[in-house]
Amino acid sequence: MANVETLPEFRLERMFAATRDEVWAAWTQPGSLEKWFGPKGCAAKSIKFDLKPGGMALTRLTFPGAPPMYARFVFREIVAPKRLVWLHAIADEAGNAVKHPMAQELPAQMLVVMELTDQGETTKLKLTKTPFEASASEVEAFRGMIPSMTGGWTGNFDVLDEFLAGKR
Amino acid sequence: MTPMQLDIVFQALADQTRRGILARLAKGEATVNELAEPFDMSQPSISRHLKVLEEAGLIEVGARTAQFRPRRLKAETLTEARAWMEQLGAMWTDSFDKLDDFLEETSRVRARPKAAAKGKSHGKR
Repeated sequence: MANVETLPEFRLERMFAATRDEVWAAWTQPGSLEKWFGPKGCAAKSIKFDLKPGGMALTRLTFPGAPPMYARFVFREIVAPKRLVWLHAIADEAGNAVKHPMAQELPAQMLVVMELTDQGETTKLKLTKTPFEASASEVEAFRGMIPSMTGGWTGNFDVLDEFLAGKR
Repeated sequence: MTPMQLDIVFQALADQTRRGILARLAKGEATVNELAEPFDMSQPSISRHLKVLEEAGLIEVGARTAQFRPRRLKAETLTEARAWMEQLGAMWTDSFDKLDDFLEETSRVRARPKAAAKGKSHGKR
């Protein structure tokens, strides 16, 4: 297992024009979570939401024309309304963690920490994501993935761009 | 594309030689011999890689009448795989955009300054 200090970290910060309680509620009430959770173009449905340490939340994500995907949270720390920590995994419909079909080389589970802090009238949300119990190669695969997580995949698909450019 | 088909596509893409072959085919059709050249690999080895790419639907055999049956790229498969990859990659930035909209509708914080409403891009890495 890789040394904790060298683990790559995906980090995202956003300001939201809402109170900390409101942002917290958006995360911890399944009816609210399914309104916004997931990539654009997908419909989220909360299948299970058990907000307690060790409890599981399972959300189904459906993209048009594709089979559903499931996101699994297993909660570790719940400190309302400021800190939520969970193990994040892609799961099957029964809630068993599975490797993402497109990302076999990535860690099966990620440790995600979501923190809220007051910034005047607004709330700052900080989300960090690090590999959990991953092999050295999985950790490196995740490190390579980080740029694509912050917007725009530019990796292996350069080939495609080249091809499509040649068609024009 | 089913998860199983995606599996096959991403396994095919997970190999450096096969990505090299795709990069070559992105420039145009090529025969097995032409594809083998830059890789310092035997023709049977290259043929095995080509078989994996073919089964994944990433390439196809060109004009059957031609003696050397050139291979060519099937862009549709790569396009679809990329769409999935982008969905996965954009998970959190997309979610936060949507959370922003959701909170705008539901938040009791009134008359917030325009600058705050533009928080969408603020602090984004």
